[in-house]
Amino acid sequence: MRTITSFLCWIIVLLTTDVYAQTNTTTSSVDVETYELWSKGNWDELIQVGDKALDRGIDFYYLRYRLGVAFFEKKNYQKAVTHLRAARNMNSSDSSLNEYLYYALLNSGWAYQANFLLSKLPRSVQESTGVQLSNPIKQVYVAYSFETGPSQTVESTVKEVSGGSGYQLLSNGHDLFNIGMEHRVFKNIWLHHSYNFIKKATIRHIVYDTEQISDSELQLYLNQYYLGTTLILGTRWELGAGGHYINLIYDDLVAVSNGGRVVNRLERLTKENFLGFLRAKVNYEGWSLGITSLVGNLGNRTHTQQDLILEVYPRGNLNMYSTTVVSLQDNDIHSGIDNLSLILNQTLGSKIATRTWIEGFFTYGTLENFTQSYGSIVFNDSDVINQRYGVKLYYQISSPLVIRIDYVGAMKASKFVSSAPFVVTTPINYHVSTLTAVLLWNF
Amino acid sequence: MEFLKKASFVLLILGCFQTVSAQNTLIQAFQVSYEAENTGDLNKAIQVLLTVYSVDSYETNLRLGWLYYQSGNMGESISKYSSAIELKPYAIEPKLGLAYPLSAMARWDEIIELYNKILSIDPQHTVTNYRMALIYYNRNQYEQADTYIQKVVNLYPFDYDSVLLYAWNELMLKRTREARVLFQKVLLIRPGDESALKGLDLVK
Repeated sequence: MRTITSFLCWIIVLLTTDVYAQTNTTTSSVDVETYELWSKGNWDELIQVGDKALDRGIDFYYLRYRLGVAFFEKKNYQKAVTHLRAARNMNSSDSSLNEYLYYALLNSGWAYQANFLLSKLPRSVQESTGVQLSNPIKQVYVAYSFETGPSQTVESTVKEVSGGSGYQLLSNGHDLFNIGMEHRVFKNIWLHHSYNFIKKATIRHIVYDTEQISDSELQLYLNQYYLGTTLILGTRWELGAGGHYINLIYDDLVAVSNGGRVVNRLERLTKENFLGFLRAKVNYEGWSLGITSLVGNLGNRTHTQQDLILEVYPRGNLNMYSTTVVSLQDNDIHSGIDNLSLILNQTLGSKIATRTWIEGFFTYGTLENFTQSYGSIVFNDSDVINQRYGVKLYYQISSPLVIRIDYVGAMKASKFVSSAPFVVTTPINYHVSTLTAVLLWNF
Repeated sequence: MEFLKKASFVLLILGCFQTVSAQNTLIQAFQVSYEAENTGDLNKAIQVLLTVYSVDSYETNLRLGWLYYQSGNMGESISKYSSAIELKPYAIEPKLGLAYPLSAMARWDEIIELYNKILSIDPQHTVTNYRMALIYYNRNQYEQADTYIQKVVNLYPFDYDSVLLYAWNELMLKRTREARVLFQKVLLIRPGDESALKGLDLVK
């Protein structure tokens, strides 16, 4: 890929009339020095000399090109992007430069911008990357997730609850099947589709005066469809919008009148929930900042959520990164009382071996009707999540194929819902574990 | 009448003094500019010339073109060199100067246009012919490069750079016999030359 354009050497020929001593910093001296360092692959020194020249106001195409290549070779791809873009602003016709910039964007984690750039380049450069731009599909994935239920002790504790009429629900695990795809609809617009089918088991314990009924076989089924858009604006901005439709099917006892008597009949019920969001993200060298604003009606309450997302790439590449999300949620905007919650999610990721990355995360705060990842992940369980942590392991099987295994642990809280008003009960805390396997194909 | 003659004579003398004075100021400014450039103070070298700048002065525009180029201000360099070219359209010197900032910005198509203008004035201009050959060689346009490099080698058959470029160009055109002879000539100019030895290896 590093087609050494030897016409760079003719700059030396052109500038043999330089009258300056080597100690003076001029365009000529910087050109000669950086070319020599570039030829020898002495990237650290080239970066030093180049940065010093830029500080002095010396800026030209070949300086930026060489600095871009130096940072690329040092695997600081985001810094490479800065310099290669600056060079491209001066002259966009060099195919070698465009190829470097494409791979620097890709390796920076800026796949949308890389793809957008490629769509503007000559066919010869497109072909050299091996990317099939005629294929609009960016990514396809499938996933399966399994969540455990609470321990027997917790289950027994729930059944021992007393103190008036009411009911208590306890999540008893789930199976989740997911399939998704992301594709391009225009040069700078992508759509992300995701479908989830979730089979959820719930333990329901009902107390009516002195009678108690426990149902460990209560099943809920969720069909969820998510649609998100991403629009690339300029070289730094990503804008997005989308929605999530959730269809909940469950069996429940419904009181019906039967010949003057009220009887309970098991019926299949459906609930529908919606979420909508808008987002914006700006990418800078070494970091990016995003905001997301969501509104939805999970749990039959109108709730809003604002996220502030900070991503940091200390090495200018995907070998190490940190994502901090601060969320402000109003769980019921019509209640008239303060329902604001602050949730913090911190993720740290690092490459640990060839083709292998690991990510650890921790979420602090109460997750109730909460969403993550631009509304694509929804926490709408009957039980509140008070703490969540996990680890994800990524392994790149081949160039396009990645497998991911997640382990997530969560502390949930199950509350007894009393029929009598203003009765406060102590929630039962319990731990659940979730294991997820994801297969991802990048085109 | 006598009075008029005397008055005209006085005015003429005064005019000469003014011209000489202005010229002296310009010379002084150039001197200070050269001194500043030699000590590495390009900003001062530029500023002192700007105090005497005239849009009609070829020399000032030419010098400022060079100073702006060296200080890294390519936009101003191109502007000043272009002004110098407009003032002396048949001069080769400002066109060669303009090639500096254009090459730093990789504007090769414009450089080719510029060099073609030089060659229309002086078709045998060796530096320009050599550089045209080099540009086309690096664009893999070897037939075009051949036209230019042959002219240079015909004029300077014992010049290292020209003969070496000619040899490589012949090799790229798959004229291996000619390439071999030329690489061997390079070794006469510079025995043990790495590039020539590499070329001979490839010819084998």
